[in-house]
Amino acid sequence: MSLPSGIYNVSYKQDMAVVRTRTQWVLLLSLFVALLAFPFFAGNYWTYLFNYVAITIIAALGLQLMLGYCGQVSMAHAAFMAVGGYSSAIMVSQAHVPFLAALPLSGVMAGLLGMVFAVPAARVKGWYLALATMAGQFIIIWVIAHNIFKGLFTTGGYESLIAPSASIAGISLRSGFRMYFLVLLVMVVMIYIAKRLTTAKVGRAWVAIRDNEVAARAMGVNVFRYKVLAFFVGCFYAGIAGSLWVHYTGIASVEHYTFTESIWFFGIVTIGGMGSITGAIFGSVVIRMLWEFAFRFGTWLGTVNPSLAAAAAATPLLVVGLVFMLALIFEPRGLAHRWHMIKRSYRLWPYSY
Amino acid sequence: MSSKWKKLIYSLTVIILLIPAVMVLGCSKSATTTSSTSAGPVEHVIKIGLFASFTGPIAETSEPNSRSQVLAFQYVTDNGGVKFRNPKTGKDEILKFDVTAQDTGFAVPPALAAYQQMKDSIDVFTATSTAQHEALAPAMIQDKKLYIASTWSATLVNFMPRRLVGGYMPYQDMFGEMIDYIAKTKPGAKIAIIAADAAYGRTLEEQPVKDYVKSKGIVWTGIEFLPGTASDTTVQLKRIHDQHPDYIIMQVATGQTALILKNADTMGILKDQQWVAGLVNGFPRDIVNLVGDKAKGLIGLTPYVLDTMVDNKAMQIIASYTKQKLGRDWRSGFLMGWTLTDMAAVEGFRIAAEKYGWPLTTDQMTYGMLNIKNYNWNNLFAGPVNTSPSSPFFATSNYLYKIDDSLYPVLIDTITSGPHIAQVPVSAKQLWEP
Repeated sequence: MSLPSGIYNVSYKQDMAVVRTRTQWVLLLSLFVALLAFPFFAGNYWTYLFNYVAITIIAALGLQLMLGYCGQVSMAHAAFMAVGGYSSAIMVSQAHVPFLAALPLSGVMAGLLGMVFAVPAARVKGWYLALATMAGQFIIIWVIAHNIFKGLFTTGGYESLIAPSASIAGISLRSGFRMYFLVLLVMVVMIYIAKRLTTAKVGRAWVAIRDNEVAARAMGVNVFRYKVLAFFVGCFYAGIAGSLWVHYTGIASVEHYTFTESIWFFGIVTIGGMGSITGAIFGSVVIRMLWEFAFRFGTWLGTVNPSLAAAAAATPLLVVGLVFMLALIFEPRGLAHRWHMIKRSYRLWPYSY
Repeated sequence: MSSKWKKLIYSLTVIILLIPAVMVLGCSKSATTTSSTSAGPVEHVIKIGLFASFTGPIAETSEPNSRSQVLAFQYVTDNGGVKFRNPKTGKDEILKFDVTAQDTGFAVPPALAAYQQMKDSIDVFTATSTAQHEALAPAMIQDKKLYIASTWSATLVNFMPRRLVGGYMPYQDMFGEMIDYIAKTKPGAKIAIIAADAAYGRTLEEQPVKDYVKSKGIVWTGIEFLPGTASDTTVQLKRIHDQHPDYIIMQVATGQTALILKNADTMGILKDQQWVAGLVNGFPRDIVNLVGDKAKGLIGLTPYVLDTMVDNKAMQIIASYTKQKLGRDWRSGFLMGWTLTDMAAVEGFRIAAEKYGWPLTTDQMTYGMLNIKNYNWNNLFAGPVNTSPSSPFFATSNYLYKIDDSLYPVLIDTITSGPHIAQVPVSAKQLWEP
């Protein structure tokens, strides 16, 4: 990555640093201050939206690591979120595991199950792998919805499962305001871990596999092992996101984790930019907010002119579809690439060319 | 000043400008239900939030239903509101309604977002579709909001035994009514069931249904579940037909009911047994439109009013008002939203206001909803209405129809009974208790 003019990396440590310049530190700290202050000024609505987007970012980071960095397609990301969410709800409500322990354990549960679905990745790739993981989406949701393990624990089947609110040291985090700080903390930690992973040995191995599997194997990379690891890590992220979502909304329901939702995670990573942590963040923010405001725009249009109500109802889909098309036409490398170009232009200003 | 400092100052300026922008956008409305005075009686406005599914997979039925809900409250307000005697002042006062509708596309996150935006300014919520109800239930219980639900799902009873104060009869209770009818008309009959296994859940849970059937002396020959996206039912029909049932109960949506009848006709088994449409959303006219004479002889369940009763005064009011407001002709979806939820809810608000005056708390409004008796709006909501905390549904009455030789649905019976199979579990009661 390019650095501001006059700044050079002179050591490996500097090269690997996530934050490198004083300006970056100042901006980052300012951002943290703004984020910590945000829920004190924002209403319920905006706090909810932040929590929703932040949880999406965590899940999208998982898919980014699997797909964007390791090239392993997963069409079951929403189902892995469900595994995390249900695991957490069951652990807290039926096994009385403290939430703080259930949170990482739910990630582990999703990760372990992800490893099972990683086995086909040893044999197939691309769209064939997509089809194999698509089976995972349907199998996982079917197992949950039919309460297959009701002798051991109950998922509630189609009737859903009530999830207790997250609680830390006796403090309930049911409200969006309190949950905000937990979600923010987890998101920051997960972003940091993802960033570190991508610059570490494992991240480079993933990129090598993504770019050329045969060449990676020739260089001594244990392709199967790293693929399985990518699935574990990606699904771990999904599981953590699922756990946060379930305890935030107070309910675990299969209707939250549909195949369509898995497709949307694909869209998030694509629009944000493949192979970029920033891309997963941008994609999550843009797609989630776009849907939210498209719904509001459509409703508003129908209210302003009731005779156009039926046509206005189609507006959200049209708006989102149009934005997708434009984004793919004008920025096929994703929003992260555009952001990178803006940063570069800013650093070189006024000598942009 | 160095360029580095200029960049820093510029960046901080951007952040400082962004924070108030977010704060302004994030400011929520502060007003709750309001009252206003005029030259005549004092008027009070009840603010209602509606989670609508104008878009999404169930838009075809929920869009007119949701529009109808908005219009029904608007109709009451346009016609002078609802008069009540305030026990606190001893004077006649008026209730009016202000509905804020938000499309959620039958998706959970937009429904939650809409709720978070509205909850500070609105005390009463209503919605269509099960997914949203389920998603919203925990938050509404926590916030002690009144929730007027129009749903068929027994699932919700598990979540909101007291907050769910409106709505339709659960799927399983509709099924129970059909079983009661069969037990009465042909004791010891053999039945088979085709139920839906769709995105919103199953329309029947096998074991409690099987237990209920056996308790009525009916012979159970099997059940088949159709995926919500099924485009062919011949495999399921073959398995069921091999058991030679007297009745096949189709506990599925209208489109799938039509699909089953078409497939049975193609297989040559249409006349081998009595077909029964078990869900109220199987409006007889819709089924006839879809399959024509293949629907001849079909028995089905329908709520309170048939879409053939065009000379009904209430129908004329709805047709005229919807034409005036939307430029659209009414149809069955409108009836459901208009009558089964809103007009009865208006009566509930009136009962509460008569007893407690103004302002009304959530519990007081809930009391009003639970004390509606035999409500009738221009003969549209003609079925007996009976609600109680253990049976938190408006409707305990349905009509049975049969499609005759002229493909005209005729009433053959009226069924009035309480819940059969849906039970309020202990855990749900515990959830509600403070």
